[in-house]
Amino acid sequence: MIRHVLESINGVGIFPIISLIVFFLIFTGVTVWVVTMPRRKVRHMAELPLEDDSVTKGE
Amino acid sequence: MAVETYYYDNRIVRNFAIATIVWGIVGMLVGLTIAIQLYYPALNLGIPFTTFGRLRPLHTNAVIFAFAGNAIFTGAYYSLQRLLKARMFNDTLSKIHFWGWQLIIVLAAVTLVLGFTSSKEYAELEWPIDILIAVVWVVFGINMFGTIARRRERHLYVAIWFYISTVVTVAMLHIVNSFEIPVTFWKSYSLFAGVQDALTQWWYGHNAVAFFLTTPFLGLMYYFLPKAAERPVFSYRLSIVHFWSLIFIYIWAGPHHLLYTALPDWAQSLGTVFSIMLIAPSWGGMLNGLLTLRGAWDKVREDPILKFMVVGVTAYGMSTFEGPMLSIKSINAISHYTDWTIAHVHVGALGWNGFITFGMLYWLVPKIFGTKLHSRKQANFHFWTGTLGIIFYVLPMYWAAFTQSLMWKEFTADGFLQYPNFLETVLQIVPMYVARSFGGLLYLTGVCVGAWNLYVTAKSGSLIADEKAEAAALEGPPPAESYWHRWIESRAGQFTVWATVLVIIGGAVEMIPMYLVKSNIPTISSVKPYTPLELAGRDIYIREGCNNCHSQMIRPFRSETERYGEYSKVGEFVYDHPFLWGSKRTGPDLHRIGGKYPDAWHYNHMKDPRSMSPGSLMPPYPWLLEDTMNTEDMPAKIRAMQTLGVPYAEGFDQESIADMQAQAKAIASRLKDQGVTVDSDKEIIALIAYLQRLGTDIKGSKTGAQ
Repeated sequence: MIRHVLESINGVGIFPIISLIVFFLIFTGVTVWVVTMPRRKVRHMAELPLEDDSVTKGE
Repeated sequence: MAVETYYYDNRIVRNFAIATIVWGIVGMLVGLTIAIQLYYPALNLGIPFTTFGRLRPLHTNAVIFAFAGNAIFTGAYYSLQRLLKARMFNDTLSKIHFWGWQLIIVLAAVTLVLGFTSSKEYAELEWPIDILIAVVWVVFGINMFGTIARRRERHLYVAIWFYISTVVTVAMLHIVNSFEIPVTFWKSYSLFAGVQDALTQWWYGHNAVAFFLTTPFLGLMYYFLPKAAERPVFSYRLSIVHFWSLIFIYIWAGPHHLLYTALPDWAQSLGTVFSIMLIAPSWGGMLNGLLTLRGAWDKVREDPILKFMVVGVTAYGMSTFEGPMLSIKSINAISHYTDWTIAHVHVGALGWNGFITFGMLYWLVPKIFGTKLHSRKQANFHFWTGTLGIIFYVLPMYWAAFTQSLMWKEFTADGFLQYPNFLETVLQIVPMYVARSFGGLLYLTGVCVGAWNLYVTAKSGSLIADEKAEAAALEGPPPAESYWHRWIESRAGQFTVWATVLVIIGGAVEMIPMYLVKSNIPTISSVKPYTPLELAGRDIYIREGCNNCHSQMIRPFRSETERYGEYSKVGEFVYDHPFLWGSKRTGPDLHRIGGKYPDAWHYNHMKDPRSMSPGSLMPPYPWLLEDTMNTEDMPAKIRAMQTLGVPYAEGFDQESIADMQAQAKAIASRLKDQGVTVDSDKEIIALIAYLQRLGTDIKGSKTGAQ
């Protein structure tokens, strides 16, 4: 069944290969980007939610 | 650099928080009602508006889009402003978003109860509401991107990335799955038919779970968990890998909802592979959340907020492990159509979405009211009733699922079904349904106590509607960084566009072959379009939500072909706009019900199911025997079907009413012979016509698909 259906789609083999390449590139790219991110920046980013919300409480 | 003063909008946060709690209680109350209806059918009250088939979509829509939806907006409006160091882009847009969303919810509640439904799970709302949803969603998107554009913080925290992916992808999913042809103001037919419709629906259904119940809540987790734990996330680098791998893998996994169905094998396998791959990013995210608490576990013992979050994140880990397991074909063969799915989604909904929401609310409500939480004791009570509620809910469901599935598949030594009567397998698990509703009651009790606690908390303070904040404006060159990092970060908008394009390609690669390639849907020459009367009956079937309890998809297992008949073929559904395969068998499959019983059986069964099947859980539908069927819309329906490619003869729309009446008279006289007197214009006649047609097209031609 599966072979029959796959064969009947013209050039179906290219779909999974394209998707594999796209995902591999994205995953590699993100990993490289993340690993090379400067430590100082990572710390700054990680602490963004912890920065004080406001100067004065109550208005 | 000049320091600017600006004000955070807390009023919009409060409004969404109130809506979250109110709709949460309403949605869960409806859930509890339908849970009880399953073992006490009298609670259907004998009227159309409160039957299980109509309330079940109301429950799912209420908890997903009203409870979880408002919770997302609460957290997003709070965290976006602070992470971007800016007030929301436009207060009017915020208001339109809030009131528009509440209007959608009210319209949904009214129309679903009235039986206006497209029948597609979690997308039941009819086309006018679909359009309204799209408009309000775009308003939210403009408001969010506008705020991002005006930010005073250069870097976008990972939570914002999760929100962006939510806004963009939900818009795409919603629009594609809502392609439908309006017939009347409250009736439309899906553009797609049969297997294509099923694939689109579950591409949507699966990714609605991904981009409505997962990514936005991960955004909330990445903001509120560090807040509550007072320490940064365990690994910010991991959170970025988590984000990108999650969104790109999720989009492919939809077909795992259609294993062993008539969907072609290659699409099923694609769904399975990507579902199993999903474990990696999901668990990366869960561990990142839990490890954020390293060195702070003593706080978890004390703080109810952290307790909620820890159990919430753990529930995320459990359901994202279970999901891929359920995508393995041999496990899916057991789990599908049973209460296992119900258990699975409730680990996610009650544990992950519910507990992250309540953890967030307990943290946030005191903050915006400038006060302290009224009662830590009550919050702890909420936590424990909630946790026990989840356990009492899911364990009976797992038990019920295994019991029933094994009973369905049990053969005697002589090769006959051990339990040929479906009802026997249902009655066996009724005690589990009772236990489940107790679990739901516990959970709801906790929520009510929580609502009271938050109400008193709010009363004890006063809303800081405009919270003052100061930050330097964003100007000057970015700090020294490597060229590539600066290059990438300065192109957030372009990256959003490219990421969207890639996600669309992901969906397209999955679906386009299904739409374009004829050989994926082998045609069966004996399959003919429905007659007008059958079409009218099918619309009644959709209106009453029969598909919530009855599947129309017999899987190619001996246990199913023995019980129901020949397994379902792709080619049998080519005129099914929309598809009605269903996802749960609270009652038996109906695909081969046609010709199985005499007309009078159906008549008496709809009047009182228990008269035909003693002990049945199905509610009675007496109004079908009284109400006159709608004939005037039929020509428009036929024309809509013709537009969709259903081969009715030219000009058939004008003859359709006469055709309908002739077939109805024939059925009425057949019923009379069987001792039932009923006018031929009653709705029951149309429904009987449809049920008697189901699955009969290929009978006689033993060869089936070619």
